Amino acid sequence: MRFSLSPATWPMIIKAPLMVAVLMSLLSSIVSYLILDRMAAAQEKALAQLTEAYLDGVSTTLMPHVIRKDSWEVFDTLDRARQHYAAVKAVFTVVSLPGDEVLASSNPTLFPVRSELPWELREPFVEGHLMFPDRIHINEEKGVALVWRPLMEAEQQVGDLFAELDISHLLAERREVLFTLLSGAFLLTLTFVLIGYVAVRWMVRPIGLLSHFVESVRHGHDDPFPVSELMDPRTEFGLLFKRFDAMKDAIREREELATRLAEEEKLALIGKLASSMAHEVNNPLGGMRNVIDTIRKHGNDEATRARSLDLLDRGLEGIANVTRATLVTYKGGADPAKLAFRDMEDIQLLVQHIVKRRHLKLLWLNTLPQETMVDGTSVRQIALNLLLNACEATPEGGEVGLEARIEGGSLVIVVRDQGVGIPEDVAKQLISPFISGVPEVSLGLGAWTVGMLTKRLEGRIEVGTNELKGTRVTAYFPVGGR
Amino acid sequence: MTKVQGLYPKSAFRRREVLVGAAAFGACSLLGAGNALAREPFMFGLTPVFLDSDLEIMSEITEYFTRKLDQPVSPVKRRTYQEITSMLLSGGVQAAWICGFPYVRYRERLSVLAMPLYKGVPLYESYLIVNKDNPAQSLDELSGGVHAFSDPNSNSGYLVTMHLLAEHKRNPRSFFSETIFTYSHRNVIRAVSSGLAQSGSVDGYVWDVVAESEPELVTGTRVIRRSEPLGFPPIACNVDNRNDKSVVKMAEALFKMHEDPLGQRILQTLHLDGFVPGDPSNYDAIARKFNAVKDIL
Repeated sequence: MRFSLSPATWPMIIKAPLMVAVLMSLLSSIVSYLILDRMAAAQEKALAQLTEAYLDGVSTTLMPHVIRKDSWEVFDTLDRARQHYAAVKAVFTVVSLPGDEVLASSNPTLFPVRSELPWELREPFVEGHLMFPDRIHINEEKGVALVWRPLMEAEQQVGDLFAELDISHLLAERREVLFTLLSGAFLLTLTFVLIGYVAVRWMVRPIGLLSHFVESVRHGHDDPFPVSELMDPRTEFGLLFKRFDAMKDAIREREELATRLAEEEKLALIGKLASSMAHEVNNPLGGMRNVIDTIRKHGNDEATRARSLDLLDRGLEGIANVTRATLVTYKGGADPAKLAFRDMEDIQLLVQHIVKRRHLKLLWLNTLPQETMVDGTSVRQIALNLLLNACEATPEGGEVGLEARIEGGSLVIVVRDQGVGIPEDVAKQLISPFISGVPEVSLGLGAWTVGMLTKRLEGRIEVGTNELKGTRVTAYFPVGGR
Repeated sequence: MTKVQGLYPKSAFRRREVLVGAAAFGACSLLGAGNALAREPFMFGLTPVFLDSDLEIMSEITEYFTRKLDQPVSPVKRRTYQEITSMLLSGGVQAAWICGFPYVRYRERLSVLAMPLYKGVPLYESYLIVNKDNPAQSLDELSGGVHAFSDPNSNSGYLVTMHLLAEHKRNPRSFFSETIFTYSHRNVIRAVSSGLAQSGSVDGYVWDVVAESEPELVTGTRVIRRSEPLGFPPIACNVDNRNDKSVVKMAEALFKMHEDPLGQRILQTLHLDGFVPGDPSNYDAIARKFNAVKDIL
């Protein structure tokens, strides 16, 4: 199977699991986000409570020392607090005096006594106001939280307490949860995709089977075995297979009918041909019998005998012409790839019986060259069929016409009659036999055969009216083709 | 330097006597228990001249003296030397372990009851220490830094360094950018070790003992100067009650501490060898330092 970039063309077996994967990813993203968001909120709340307790305890102890600006006691308090509040995981704590001068810190190497408070500690809280005394600034990149509390005594700020808390364990916890969520979601998605793949594969299996059967029917491998027996008839595929079997049966019946009709038509044509031949042969036979009688009675008379033999000769020639024309038409000429002028002329002989019987006037105009490079046998069959139909359609004593010529590299055959016109469905058989399919029984196979032959010769047929107040059928065939 | 090791006879330290004494004392304490509890407690003042942070030693000292004095002994601790000295002068405590500096300051009103023997002598040194990352090699290089003192009434933790600065013709008020008082020698070590102070003045005896008991604390410091040997912080009493019965008993208990199993344990914990009778001249060097700088203190 060739893979296309357009998803619309992808097989169901890919599309369905892919859809599952997309939906699962979407779902797990939303769930992960919600869980992590809740977790972060819970962690931050716990951190805020812990920090609050820590700051309360430390600042209460610190207050008198800060007021006395006792660096040692402040350091001692912060140093002891580090052990007492181990859960807070303070990286450092700094106490500064108004004017941002460091009074003491738990890490004097980083923040020496009397040094200037680093701006990075103050900066995150610059917009902070005394109305919000406890602030936490989380720096996820460094895995720390910076907290600040102004040290207030009797409405007066005596200093600031800053602390950096190690929250990497909280962030690690979050990462761990995220990893668990993502790996869980991935495994679930993978499982669902596999299940989806197997399920869809199982579900679409009848379609593949049906597709195979349809293809074999298209190629004419008619297997009479009913495929519906392969499926549970209660399922939708069972129903589909049942319909497929019904369709297959209908096609087979139609084909049998068409074959039978074609056979019947052939027999009818043979009958017509035989009767016309009998007629053609019989006509001169009557005269020839008279001539033989004349010879018996007046055979001694030289002049009479000579005239009678001449008449016999002409009668026999007429019969010979008719048999030859029949042979050429139905067995093919000397070279089936060519149409000889003479072969076209012979068609007049093949319709002679009906022309005479119905007292028609045949307007014949054959301007073809001695040889034309087309399939002569097929063109003659087409011309004969059209002309016979025209003769049948024209009322007794009427006129029919055939004109054969070369025009713009095409052989053009125009047949005219004075009939009431070709019924629409018959005209369709002529123009596009493939689309209209095998004809109804009542329409006969003449028009359909003409249509099929014309298609084979890559020609075309136009149906219209003519100056004889009847129908005009024009057939075009490319010359010098196959 | 006066050799004082021979002040008490080591040969007297005999196992049998100790056992007999202990047994007799046990009986006495049992008989006199009600008596001991009924009396006024003997108030014994303690300062951070020794390792007062060790709570166990406090209870052992209380137990030892209560037994020896046949009287309840109540240890009195205050944050500063000044407070204990004041109580000693005013009679708030009958005896106290004070520093040589307050003693020389009030030597007319105080009497040395006993002197601890450290490494066999009643002497110790004052250390000038710096943070281990501080490259300074002498006092002059400490100028402009933060300096940790132990107590403004401490000899080793204040007076020695102030005197040294005066000797170097340095103004003790402006030499350091900042001076902090930690009110404990151990805290001086903590302050310097942590970097809170770049340098500190500390009791050499305390530094040495801490170096053994808490080596991780002193590894953050380095001694850049040791003072000459000076009189070890004495156990003193008010001259007015020098002859009180309980005070005399206290002195006896101190002198015989090395003979008692509990006393031995106390001495072992304190890294001391014992106690000998006081000799005021042992503190003359401190007195000279005080006299030299008393106008600027």
